[in-house]
Amino acid sequence: MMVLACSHWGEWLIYTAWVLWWVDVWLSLATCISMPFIVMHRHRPNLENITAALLLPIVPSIVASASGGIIAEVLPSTDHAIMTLITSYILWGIGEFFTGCVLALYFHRLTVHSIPPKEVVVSVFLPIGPLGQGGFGIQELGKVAAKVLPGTTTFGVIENGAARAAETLYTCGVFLAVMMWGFGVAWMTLAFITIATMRKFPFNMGWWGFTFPLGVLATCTGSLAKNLDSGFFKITTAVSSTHPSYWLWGNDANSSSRSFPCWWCLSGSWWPSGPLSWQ
Amino acid sequence: MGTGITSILLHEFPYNAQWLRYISYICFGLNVLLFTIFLALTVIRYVVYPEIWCVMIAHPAQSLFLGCFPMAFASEFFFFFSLFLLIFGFEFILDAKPARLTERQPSST
Repeated sequence: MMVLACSHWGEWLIYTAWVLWWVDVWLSLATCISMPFIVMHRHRPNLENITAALLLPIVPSIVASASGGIIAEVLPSTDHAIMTLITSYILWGIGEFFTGCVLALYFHRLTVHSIPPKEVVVSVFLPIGPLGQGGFGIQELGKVAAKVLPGTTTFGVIENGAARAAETLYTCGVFLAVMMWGFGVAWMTLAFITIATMRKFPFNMGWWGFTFPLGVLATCTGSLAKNLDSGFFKITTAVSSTHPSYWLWGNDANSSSRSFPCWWCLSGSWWPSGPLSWQ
Repeated sequence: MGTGITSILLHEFPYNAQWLRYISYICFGLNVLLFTIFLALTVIRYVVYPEIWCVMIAHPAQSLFLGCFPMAFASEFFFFFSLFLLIFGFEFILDAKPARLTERQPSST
């Protein structure tokens, strides 16, 4: 009786999460497609003014695709799971290919106009975000494909196509993730070198940019450690996981109140008289 | 987003311990609190001063941060979802999908 009640509860919870996921999908698509258009049409920035913050409206679709993998794993209906899986792969593609375009543009900007000014220098960490999250997401999707696809009628042209496709998707997921991890680490090194060339740079809202990109790179490393059963990646996960917590809980001992990001946000002058009242 | 990833990382830490899990739940609680506060503040801001919305969209730096909302929303409620699964156990989730499990059995044999 209890189990029955619980199982009813469970299904209800899963479908609530699924509905919320669809809301998230549409929200991410809205920012991912509308914001680049607004940048082209309204902002029309000079190359010099472009920062990696241009990636911010694009990354949500990659986050939504990784979340889709988590939800597809528990959906009771195979049809719904496959629908979620395919949607997640589409979202992953939109996010990653847009990221490729923006990274090329950003690299062009860095090459022509040198490194960003002190105020926005933390944004050099942002390219790690889509690479780390994408690497985590593609492994998650491969794992779910390996569980969901076998036994279905997908990839019917090849004999036993669904099972073989599932294996391929899982393997390709890990393979792609290894390459994206490498590229992410390359951008991270570039970012650390950039930061090292600056003596001091002011604390501002952009500092959260330390936490999220390094954090998702750590989750990508964690998945690689599990999928490759690798001690190296496991230790790297442990080391890289400590960074975000460190940055989050304040790091500048000289100015303890200003260095605490949450405190800064609450005490900051971002309310109507804030940065937007420039007009 | 920053707080969200901290709770996820502490939860998934490779050399894990129960106390790390507890810290991760605390981080998650803080995350929900911050998300709710900032969401409420943002909603109030655009309800009270609707004209700011257009100014924000036209702002070359601030408008890009719109993308942070779906990102935070996703990491937020998926941690909640996995936490729920963790507390109430995976059994009932398995109970909830007997259709798929039985459906897949013939193919594996």
